[in-house]
Amino acid sequence: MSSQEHYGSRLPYKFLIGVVTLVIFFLEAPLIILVIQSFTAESYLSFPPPSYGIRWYKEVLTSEDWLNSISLSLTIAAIVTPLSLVLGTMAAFALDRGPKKLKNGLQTIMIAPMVLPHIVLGLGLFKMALQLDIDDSMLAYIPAHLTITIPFVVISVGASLQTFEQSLEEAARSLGANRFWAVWYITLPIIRPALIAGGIFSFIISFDEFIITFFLTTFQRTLPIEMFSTLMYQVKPSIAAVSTLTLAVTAFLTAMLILRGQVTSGDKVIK
Amino acid sequence: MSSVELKSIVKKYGEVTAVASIDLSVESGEFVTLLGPSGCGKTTTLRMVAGFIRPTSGTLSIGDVDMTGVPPHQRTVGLVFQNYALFPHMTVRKNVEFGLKMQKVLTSERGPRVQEALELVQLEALGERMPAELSGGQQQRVALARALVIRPDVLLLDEPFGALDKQLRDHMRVELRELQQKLKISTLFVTHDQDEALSMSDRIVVMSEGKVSQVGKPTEIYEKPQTRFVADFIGRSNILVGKVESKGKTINAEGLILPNKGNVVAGAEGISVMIRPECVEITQSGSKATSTSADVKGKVTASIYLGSIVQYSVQINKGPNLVVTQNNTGSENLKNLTVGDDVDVSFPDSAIYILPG
Amino acid sequence: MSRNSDENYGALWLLTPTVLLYVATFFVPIIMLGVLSFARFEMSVTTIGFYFDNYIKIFSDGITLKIFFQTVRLSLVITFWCLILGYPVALMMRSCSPKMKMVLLFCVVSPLLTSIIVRNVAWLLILGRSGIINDTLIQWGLTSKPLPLMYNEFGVILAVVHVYLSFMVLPLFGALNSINSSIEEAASSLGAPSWRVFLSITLPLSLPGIMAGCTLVFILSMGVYLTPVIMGGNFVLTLPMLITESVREQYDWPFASAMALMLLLAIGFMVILSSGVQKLVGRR
Repeated sequence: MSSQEHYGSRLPYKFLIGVVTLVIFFLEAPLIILVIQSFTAESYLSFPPPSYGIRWYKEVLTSEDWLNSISLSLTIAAIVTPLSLVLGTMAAFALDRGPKKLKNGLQTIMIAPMVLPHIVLGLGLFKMALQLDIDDSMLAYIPAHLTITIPFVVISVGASLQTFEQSLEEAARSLGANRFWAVWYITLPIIRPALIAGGIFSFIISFDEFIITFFLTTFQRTLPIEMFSTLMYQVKPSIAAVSTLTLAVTAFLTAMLILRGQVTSGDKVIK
Repeated sequence: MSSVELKSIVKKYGEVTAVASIDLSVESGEFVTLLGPSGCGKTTTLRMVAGFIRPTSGTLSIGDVDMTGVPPHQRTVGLVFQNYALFPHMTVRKNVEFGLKMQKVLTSERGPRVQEALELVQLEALGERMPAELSGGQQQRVALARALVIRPDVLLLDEPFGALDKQLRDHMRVELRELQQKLKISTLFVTHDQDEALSMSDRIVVMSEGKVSQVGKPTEIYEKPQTRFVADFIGRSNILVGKVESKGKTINAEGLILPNKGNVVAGAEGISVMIRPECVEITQSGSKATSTSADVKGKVTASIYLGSIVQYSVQINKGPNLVVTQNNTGSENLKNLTVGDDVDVSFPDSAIYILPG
Repeated sequence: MSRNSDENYGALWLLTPTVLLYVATFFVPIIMLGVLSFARFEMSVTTIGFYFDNYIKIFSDGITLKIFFQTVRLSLVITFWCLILGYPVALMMRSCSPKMKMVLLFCVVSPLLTSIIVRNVAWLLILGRSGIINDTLIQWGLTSKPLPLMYNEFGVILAVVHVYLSFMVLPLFGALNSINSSIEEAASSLGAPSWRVFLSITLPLSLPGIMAGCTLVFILSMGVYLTPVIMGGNFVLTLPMLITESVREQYDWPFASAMALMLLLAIGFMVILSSGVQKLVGRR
């Protein structure tokens, strides 16, 4: 590819490669080191570990505190993800199909929680939850998490609907499908990559959410909160093991995101 | 029985009128074309028949049943889109089957009907392919099969050849017309391409600015345009404004004296005279001229070679500038005409047509 | 093709559940904070009313305003470093091979999907008193006592830059990618050296991306709580830490609300400023 020759001489390009390599190292190295350290067989953290083992994973997976927080986080994310997908997709359809002159204004409202600092959102939600006496419960966590995940679904599905050829839906309707079935059989399968992306974003955001939940809880602990409290107390290898487990979950979902995207664009050609 | 009937259909978007009171009918088995430039309201009209747009006023019936407010999925119309709108995530077979599934046709009945539709368009071998693996012409046929399999009361075609290259377009045109005549299915066809309209239709509806300019058989539309717009839009034409002179014997059209063939009353002014370029004869001055109605002299000011025809601009002495075309027969006469040549121009009776009104 | 269809107001019903949710979780809570910020908090009792006590306190207690400006300063420094580190990456993503672009994109996007707390833990293990760096330095005898790499601004800035760098690279890449490279090729074919092509063409044309990225990173940095707590201990205070503390420890909702509103105000000011700058540049 000749675009590498943008700037005439090669010297600045080599310099650029050097800088970028350093930045990528800066981004990725800490995580790699974290993963390696989590496999230490010692009772303290050091790099490289003198000996390796899965001792700390065993400890995490048998500790009631860790397991409780992991299951709470997974439960919340598992409830939030489908709800967020349904509500966000409905909203994206409304923005795409509704009156054009209202679109910009409504879209701004739909993604507004994204630009609001979570500290402020969390503060407000805490006040609301106290008023309704639902703090420290699912009734508070679920709506709170939905508020920050829905904008991502609206954006990802909305972008996909913008390039969606609406005549496909019209074709389906002329063939006897009402609006709902036309969307169900035609539109949704075609925008599937965006739905998967929106779902994965929702899951990860909910699973990793800290500050808002931190306000809303008193006794219950989600995984990020359990990690935070442990960290404030002592840095043990178990924290590296839990972090690596979290990393594995998100890495798996990220890989799904990328692979599914390829599969859907690929099967048109292969099949 | 008429398959589709529109009575005083009006469509307004706020203050903008897209379709201003249209009356139109497609008889059973008839191929009717809506022809006009973009923005004339032809696609809006088609979409109203399909049910995607609700008319502001007027009534619309399909198969003699009032369908004005009925949603698209409850009308039995087969629609073929300009971009075909094939479902990219379904095989050819699933695409064709979709309409049957939506109309709750029994599974056992669907297979044979899909097969029949695919055979109709000669695609029975490609049922398991995905749309993206088909050529443009094949995609077009799938779209047709998908629209026909539900046995619609009327087939609606929205510029279906727009995305094909010229050769394939000419071929598909013949194929579609043959299929339509074989099935005797009422068809409403929308296009801006006059060649398509002229070659395929039983009747043509020429539209302009939301109104019907003229309805007629292809020959009527081409040879006897009723309005200046139709004359201008269909084919190449010279349109001159003239007045009747010499006690009604001749028409002076912008300096060109022509016989008053249409017997317009003496003294009439502002008459539109249409002269089809292919009917005018020109020969190099000095060569033997044929004796025809109105011989005048002129000068070639431009010459464009278009393959099968050659198009000239001829400045008539003390008269207008005319576009004249000659068939490229390879004759000496033709080859010798170049810019600046003096020519004799003659107008056979058939070349002159006076627009009514 | 202009889509000739009637405005479909019916579709707006699909917004209802989300709008209702937002009213309960977003609009009403923010209004409540607004109301609370004008309430009075005395002897652990909140009196609703129209008092300016909390705002006066912010400007007069000698510490809140200082921390506010420290938060702004930290955010600006973080934004600066994100820009310096992010621009080369975006530039590279634009000009490298498609395969390399995928790799870089993965490296940039994957941190977005990685828990902030996990990344902070990673830095903790590297920069801490007995972290990798200090361990190594002591082992090699280069220093006798651990270097102060965290529990200070350096550690906080480093960790936050690590978290928000992606938010800078993506808009930068978007802007750079939309520049027609033939403009640059034309300039270099006219004999301009590469650094001049960059300074006079590439950089100015990517300004919208720079503004977008900087605004985004600044907003995010203003609201950051977790990283300063973990990486800064109690040595680096930010406004979000103050807000959290006054609610969770002192139950002083009115004061916390006033600080939250001040945070929003600062962010709003920044957004208006950046859109103003963009308009000004666009007009030129």
